[in-house]
Amino acid sequence: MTGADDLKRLVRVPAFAGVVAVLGLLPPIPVPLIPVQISAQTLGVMLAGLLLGARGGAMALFVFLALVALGFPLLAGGRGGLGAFAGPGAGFFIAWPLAACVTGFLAHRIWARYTAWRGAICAIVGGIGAMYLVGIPWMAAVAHLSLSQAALGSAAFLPGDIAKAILAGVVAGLVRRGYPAIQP
Amino acid sequence: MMRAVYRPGDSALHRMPAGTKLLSLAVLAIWISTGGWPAAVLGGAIVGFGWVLARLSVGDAVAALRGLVLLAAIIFIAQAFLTSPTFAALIVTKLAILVLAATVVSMTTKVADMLGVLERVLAPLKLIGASPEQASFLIVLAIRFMPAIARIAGEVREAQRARGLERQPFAAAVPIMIRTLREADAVSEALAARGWSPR
Amino acid sequence: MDQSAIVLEDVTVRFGATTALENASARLVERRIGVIGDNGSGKSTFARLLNGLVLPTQGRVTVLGLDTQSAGNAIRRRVGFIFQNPDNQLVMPTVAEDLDFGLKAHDVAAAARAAQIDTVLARLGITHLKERACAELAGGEKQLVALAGVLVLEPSVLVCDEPTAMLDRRNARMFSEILTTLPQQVVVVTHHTELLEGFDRVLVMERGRLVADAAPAQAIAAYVDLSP
Repeated sequence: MTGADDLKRLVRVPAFAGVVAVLGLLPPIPVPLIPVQISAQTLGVMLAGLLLGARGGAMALFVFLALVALGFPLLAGGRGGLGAFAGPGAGFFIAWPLAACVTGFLAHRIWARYTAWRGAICAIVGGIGAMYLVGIPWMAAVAHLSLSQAALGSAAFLPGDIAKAILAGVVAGLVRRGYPAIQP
Repeated sequence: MMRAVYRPGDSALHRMPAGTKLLSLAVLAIWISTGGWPAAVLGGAIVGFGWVLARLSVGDAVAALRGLVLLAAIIFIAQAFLTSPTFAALIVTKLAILVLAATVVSMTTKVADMLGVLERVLAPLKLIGASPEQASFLIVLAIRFMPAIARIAGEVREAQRARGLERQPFAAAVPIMIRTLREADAVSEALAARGWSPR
Repeated sequence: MDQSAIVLEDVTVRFGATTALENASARLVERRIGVIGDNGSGKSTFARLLNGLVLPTQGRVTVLGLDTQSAGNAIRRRVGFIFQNPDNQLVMPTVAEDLDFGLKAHDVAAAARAAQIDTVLARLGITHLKERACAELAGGEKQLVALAGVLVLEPSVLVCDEPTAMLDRRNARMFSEILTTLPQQVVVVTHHTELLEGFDRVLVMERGRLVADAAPAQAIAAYVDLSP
């Protein structure tokens, strides 16, 4: 029944947009020494890619960004509305659909041989890669910094993002075994 | 239900069509971000006028800028050091004005009206076979899912606390994801039962 | 072909390696039909066969003369379905939007939609819930709204899968009283035997098979005998 499967895939899209939103409501974890906070939202982005695939993951994050743009305060720390998109760090979350898409594309290719580490690598290459690819030039343009200066400033997020990618790889593996109906 | 940043009111800005507001915002944003001090000062004055017109308070402005403070401070210090304090001040001022300009629009426009504009913006997607109605359906469905997922997350965290697993990151994430997927699949079954199909 | 009934002809349903329903045949014409059985007896699969949510692996299901295999959409318009958990059934954020959504999916014109929504809410005595958020309703209210969402589409048959499993006794009683007033043919799958009071016919299922088919009293007695 492809019709029913198509519908399931479609309805999982807003469900994952909701997951990313709910993860933003959890209190962010402050990191000692550096002035950034780790939010659980990028974990949701990576999981959307790993569990929904390229198309579904990208759609889920487009829906999420649309909700933010419409005025819902869903970004970590309760930010939302069009004002959030005007900030210098906006590139990092504007990249989320792309991040989920690339993560999902890679995950689809290794799905038959999935391990937590392979999943984590998909999330690092796709998720972190795409976010920094968009986020760093965005920050450089808005703040009139050079690319290397913006990259240096973003390096503070890297350890936390890698930790989340590993967590995403493990979680996706467990969900895959616990809910075999899922396939990216 | 999820509260948006919208503030109910009946000012001239509240009554202005959402499309007009968004278009003005886009023009203003391009003008400010590419201009120098004259654009920043004049743009700032326009945004300030809009802020007063919409009957928003100084406290609202502080709240809107709170998320920007840390990053703006870092950028200011870096730019003051790399170029000049004047240039650093210009960049940070422009950032603040852009954030406030966008916030005015969000605070004076209902979600339903924004959705209307989004549907019109997405209308050309029909040409490539995608459906703008489906896009707004997915958005409404996501709004519907949020309280359910928040409830699931709360229940799962409570259950894990009862087992003493609250410091185990997977312990909560896995059942939350599985229950969310199950809920989504049940909703798609209910949609099918009501004769709805993606088009 | 039988135009006025639900007909199962030697139906088997398999999901991968598991057989959910085996060689079931029945012709259901009565107005009030109950299906009872333990968890995993195949009664949910039975319910889902009746509006094409599950298709037979072997055999044939026809409802009002339509084959579920080929006329899925037409059948879903005529056979309303109530799920155990109303949370999953309510799709849109508010009650009015949810009812409107179902009508829109069936291409009902805007003017007619508003009137139909008001009529069904009044009939179930829940007009006051019209503008409420679905997520904030109490359990009994949610199930009534789910029922309204189905009845507003004016189905000929109503299939309920454990409709009172999530309700307390008072709400379950209220729900079953409303069921008795409906003009439609109603098929209720449940393990709350008290829900089947006054029904015309009750089927009993065990391990994917129909093991008894009788008037409620005899069927419930047969079901109780099954339990060790």
